[in-house]
Amino acid sequence: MEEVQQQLPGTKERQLALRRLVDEMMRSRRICRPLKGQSLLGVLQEIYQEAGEQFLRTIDQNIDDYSPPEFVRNGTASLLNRTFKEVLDDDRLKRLALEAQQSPPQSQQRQYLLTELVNAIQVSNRLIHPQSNIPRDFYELIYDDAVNRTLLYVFQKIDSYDPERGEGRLMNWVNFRLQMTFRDLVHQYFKMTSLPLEPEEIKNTELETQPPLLSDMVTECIIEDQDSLFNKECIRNYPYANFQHIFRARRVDYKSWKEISEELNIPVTTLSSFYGRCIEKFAPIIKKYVQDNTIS
Amino acid sequence: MNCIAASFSITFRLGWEAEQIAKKFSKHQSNFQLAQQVYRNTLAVHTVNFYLQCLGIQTDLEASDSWNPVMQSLADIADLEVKNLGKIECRSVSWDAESVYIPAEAWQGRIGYVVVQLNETTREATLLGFVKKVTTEELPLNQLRPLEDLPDYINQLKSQSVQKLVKLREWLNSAFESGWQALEEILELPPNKLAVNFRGGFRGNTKVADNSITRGKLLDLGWGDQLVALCVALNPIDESELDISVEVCPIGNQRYLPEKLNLILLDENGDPVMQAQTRNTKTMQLQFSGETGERFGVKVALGNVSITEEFLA
Repeated sequence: MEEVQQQLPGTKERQLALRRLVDEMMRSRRICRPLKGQSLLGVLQEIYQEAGEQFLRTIDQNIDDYSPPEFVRNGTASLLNRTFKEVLDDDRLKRLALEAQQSPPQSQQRQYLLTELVNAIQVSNRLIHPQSNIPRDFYELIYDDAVNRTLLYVFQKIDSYDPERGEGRLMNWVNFRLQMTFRDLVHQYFKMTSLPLEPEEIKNTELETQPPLLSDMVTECIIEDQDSLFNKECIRNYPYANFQHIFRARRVDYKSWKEISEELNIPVTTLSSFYGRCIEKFAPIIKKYVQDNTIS
Repeated sequence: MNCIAASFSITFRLGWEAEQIAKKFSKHQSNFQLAQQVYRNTLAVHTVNFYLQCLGIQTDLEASDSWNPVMQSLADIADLEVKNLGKIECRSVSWDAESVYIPAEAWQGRIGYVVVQLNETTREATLLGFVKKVTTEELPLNQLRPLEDLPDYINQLKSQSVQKLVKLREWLNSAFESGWQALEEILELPPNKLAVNFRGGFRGNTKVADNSITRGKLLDLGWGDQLVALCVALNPIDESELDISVEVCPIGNQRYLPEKLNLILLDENGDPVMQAQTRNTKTMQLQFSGETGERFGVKVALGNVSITEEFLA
């Protein structure tokens, strides 16, 4: 970047350095990435070109005002996003959706285009924010959930988008779905929390009645080992390499597999596959212990 | 800056549902570090599950160890069960990571590993890529295979599993898959006692008809100590249909089957259509007919261990 700043404006050297800089910065973009070994085609290619040009112009105009390390760290991502946002108008999004519709179902091509579409919809910032009177913390979470479900709908039901209906705008179709999904989630939210409690209030009521935590009961079950199951189950010829010991080392003392391996003089893979078989075997027994000891 | 960023990836937001479940699971842990581990593992699994749903790949969250609080307490586990195929491990990294940590517990028993970048400030999750196998705890992110290859890889595995199908029509031509032996070998019984094992027979006969084709396979439902024989008898009705009898028998000196052993008939989607369970019984049997070209599964389960054999009628 400094290289560009050093060059005199208007010179060919500066244009070249500028191009190189822009190409490098564009690498952290979140859309218009080609599949490996292929080049961008169709509307994605067009978007990439235009965004590239616009980005170049913006940098060119303002580069002398930037301080390189700071800009690279903080400025690139937001500038990129803003640039793409301007380029991604509804017409281009619509054409991307149509390209996806026209590709064969279940093909890699379709999945690729749908993924790009879903990313593009997010970058374009054209999703509506429905009004609601739920607490702000929960609004964010529920809204994000609604967006995810809407994007899932785009993935699975892209064929039901009809560009001939109404104004044919893609974002109308997406936002309609988002509105509905959001409303449903808000309903569910109100059903679940019959009074709209603040997050703090919920935490306090839980603290009053504190049953023992599941992880503590699991630990208790294994360390107490009432039936001497867990310390007897060991790697053949290595009585110290038993399930109880390894559990304690991993889950209570937070030792790494490497440490345990050095301590017991057994390879990590042997230890971890032994442990893996043990947890499959003992899980039902431990689960029963937890259930029996849970005051309900 | 992350050089992975130029390659294909998909980003989702961490919404309410993901947050609820991740919080719920992490609350079971008394230790803060482990609570964080469970929280991040849950978000990673949730995100990969969501993406697979987008692609129309069937998963089974409830059957995944990562969704089981007892298992979460026993190991650093982030598996996602893909229906009829196996487990994908979903490991999370933070936004500035250059490698991903994969604990030794997950080096085996997985069909693949997907890396999910979690950004808790922007509340986003990005799927970066995947690998098929892992043998070290730290995997550099630049060794990941591109995400767009994942659906193909899964489809490849699906078609490979078709090759493990036992093709029953071929048995009529005496072509038996390896592992399927003659009953007298597997049950260690003299031939005249065999007929007694198949009660009910076909179409009202009390004995297995003489021209039935029978074969058995040893199944190990424990650690070498819970062996049973899965026996299959076929009687062709005509070109398009087979009478099939499936029976689980104890082997050698054992007189009874293990308690609470389940024998389940699955349709081609893996859904159960018929079931039997032991209670002090000597054998257990299911009888049905299969049309040529029909796929079905037979699952034998004891506690946490189950073995499913896939058949083509």
